[in-house]
Amino acid sequence: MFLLKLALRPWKISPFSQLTSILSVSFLIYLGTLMSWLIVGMKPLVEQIKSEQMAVLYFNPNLQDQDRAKLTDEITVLVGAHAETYFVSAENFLTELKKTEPALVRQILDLGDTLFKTTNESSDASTSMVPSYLSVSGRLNEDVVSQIKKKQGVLKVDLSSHRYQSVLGAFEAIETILKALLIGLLVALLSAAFHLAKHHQGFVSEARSLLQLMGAGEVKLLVPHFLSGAFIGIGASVLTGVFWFISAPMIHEYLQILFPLLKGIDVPRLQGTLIVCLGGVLFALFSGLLGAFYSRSSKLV
Amino acid sequence: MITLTGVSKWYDSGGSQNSHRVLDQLHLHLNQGEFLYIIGGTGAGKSTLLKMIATEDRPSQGRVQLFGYDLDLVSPPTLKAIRQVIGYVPQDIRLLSDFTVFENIAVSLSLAGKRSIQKNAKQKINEILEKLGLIQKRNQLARVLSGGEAQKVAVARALIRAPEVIVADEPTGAQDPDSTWSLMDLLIRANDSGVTTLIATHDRQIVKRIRKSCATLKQGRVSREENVCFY
Repeated sequence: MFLLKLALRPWKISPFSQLTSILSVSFLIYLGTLMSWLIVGMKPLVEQIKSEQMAVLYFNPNLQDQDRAKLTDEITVLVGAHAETYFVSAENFLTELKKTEPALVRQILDLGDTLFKTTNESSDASTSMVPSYLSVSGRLNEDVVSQIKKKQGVLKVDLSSHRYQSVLGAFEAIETILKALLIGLLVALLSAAFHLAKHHQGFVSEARSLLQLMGAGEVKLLVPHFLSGAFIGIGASVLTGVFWFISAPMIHEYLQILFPLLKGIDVPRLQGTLIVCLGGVLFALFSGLLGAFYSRSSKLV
Repeated sequence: MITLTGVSKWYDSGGSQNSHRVLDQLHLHLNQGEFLYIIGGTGAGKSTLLKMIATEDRPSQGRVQLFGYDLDLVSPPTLKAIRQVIGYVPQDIRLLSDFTVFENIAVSLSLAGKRSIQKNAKQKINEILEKLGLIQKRNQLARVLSGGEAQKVAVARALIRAPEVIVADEPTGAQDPDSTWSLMDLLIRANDSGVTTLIATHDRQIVKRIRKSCATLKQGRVSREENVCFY
């Protein structure tokens, strides 16, 4: 019991320093966990962006309906289960475009009328001016893309891979910054543990030498040092756990606003709470062991 | 039981030529159950000598043996066991300031070597506090005690663990005459029950009134007088 009382001495003598220590450690653990989770969470997303593509395959306008349907089937089989195909006819494209850009549609149709009246090649201006296309989204490897390009009736293949280059670059930069910050946080935590151990040593060093003179064993002598360090970690563990549990939905919302691409990443509420609590417990153990280690330096001759 | 052979102690104050020698080739032997005053002027080395016997300090040269064990060669568990049977009253008292009077004594009792001593702890502590006139102060924090009261608690802390050796450095230095005699009475009774007792003191009245053996420290050396003390 008296060992516990000695361990609680720092709380009695300077409660504010203990409270601010808990707050600081808790904040560092929280931020560290958030950053680690972002780094881990971003990885599959980046991989997905890298591998997933949107391809637009424009068909020859002169293709007959049955040939176009056959070609669509062939391409669908070729891309397999990893991608989805969606056929958009010229009429559908213009109908959809008309909803938002009626003037543009009118211009296209007028241009088509003018051209085809003079050449007499076709009476259907819309299908001649605007080719039908097949939209393919999913994982497309280069082999498949080159096979599609070779198909007769496919005018052009537009790939989206280059579109996400800037996004991928941004994610890589964010990841590097997060890693640097994480290292900084770990160093700050380490420094906090060392300072706390030294700080706590001063509170019980005189009691330690007295107890040693009375014949206390090494384990008993280490207990107050270990506990006073561990209390900070345990306090931080509880505080961070509560804070994470409360703030997890909020973080999710903010992240979606900041990076809409991160919409798919879930903020693990319970799992995250357990992880931050575990972080606090690990800090408690480390801080306690460091305190115990320092206590040995103040032992009697 | 306690043997000091060729013990010297010096403190370096910058370079070997500037070292300050406190004890010089000191020899001393005490048998079990003996009572010995350690007397000498200020700076004669009384506290240094007692610190070495209480295992708080080590000699710069020479050997200190307690219960037949050389303190330089003793293993940590044996040293711990030796410390558990010593009742030490340091000159600077050293109570745990945020512990109550009762707790300060209880801590000492809980660390005592023999389990049987720890039985009826509460009753034993109350009895010794009663004898020292401190029963009313049992729940007071040590930091609010006067110097004399704190000294009494330090003596109680040493006696409660039924030690085999009592090492007391100026245990009555801050006491009024009445308290001095009640404290000395407790120490003499402990000695009568077989506890080896070493007391460093400045107080001529005590030495004259309670006639026991005496070791005088002068210029780092000791001269011993048996059953008489010319001080």
